[in-house]
Amino acid sequence: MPLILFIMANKKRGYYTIKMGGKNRTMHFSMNFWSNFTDDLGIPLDKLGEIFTEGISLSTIRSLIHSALLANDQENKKLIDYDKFDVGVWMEDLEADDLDKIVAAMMESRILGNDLNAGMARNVKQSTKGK
Amino acid sequence: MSWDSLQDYYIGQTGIKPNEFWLNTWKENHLIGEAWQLQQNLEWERIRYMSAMIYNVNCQKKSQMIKPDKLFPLPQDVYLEKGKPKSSKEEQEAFEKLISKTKFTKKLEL
Repeated sequence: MPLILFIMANKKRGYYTIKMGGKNRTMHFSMNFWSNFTDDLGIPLDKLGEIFTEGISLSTIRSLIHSALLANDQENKKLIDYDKFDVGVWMEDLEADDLDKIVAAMMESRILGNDLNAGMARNVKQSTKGK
Repeated sequence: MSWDSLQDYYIGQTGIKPNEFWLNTWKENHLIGEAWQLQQNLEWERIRYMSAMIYNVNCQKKSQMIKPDKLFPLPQDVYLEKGKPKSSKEEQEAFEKLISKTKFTKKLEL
């Protein structure tokens, strides 16, 4: 049990637990989360960056929290007794600081706009080709 | 980029188990992918080094010998910094200033 609590508190691994809707609920910003999130917003993966760069709306935050809660509960085969509208109601009790921490947990777990480049350092300008 | 292409790379190529792929965070999957690619690059580096050694032992003259990076290019060659100046103008001037204070028994020609 202590191990599980440790993992749950590890925002670098994308876990964040918060009291919402009368009980402690854990969000997991895993690939399952990203899948739920893109499905919910109805956007392809390559449009994800635009969601965050063009300003986050309240419905996006609601979708983000709902998708992360759903991902964790689906992964742990827990009963899902809420929908995104319930999450919207729970969000009224959240402080700005809580939202910051949720976004921080997500940011720790994501790499957006950072292309795969064969394991080499990014943004290398100088080429040795032909020298 | 689509979910299919992501799964092709991470599950099909890198070899992450499907369940782990979905439970990992984006960053974790990315790091595993990067580790796999680095291993591939290092393996090619070893092959290139061995090939260059085989080539060099068959040379008649030293001038015919080659360095591994001349055999074929690899992504990590950028770290060799070929063609990059060995020092900046400021560093050269600082060195010349240092040398000018030194007394030599013979005249130094820069």
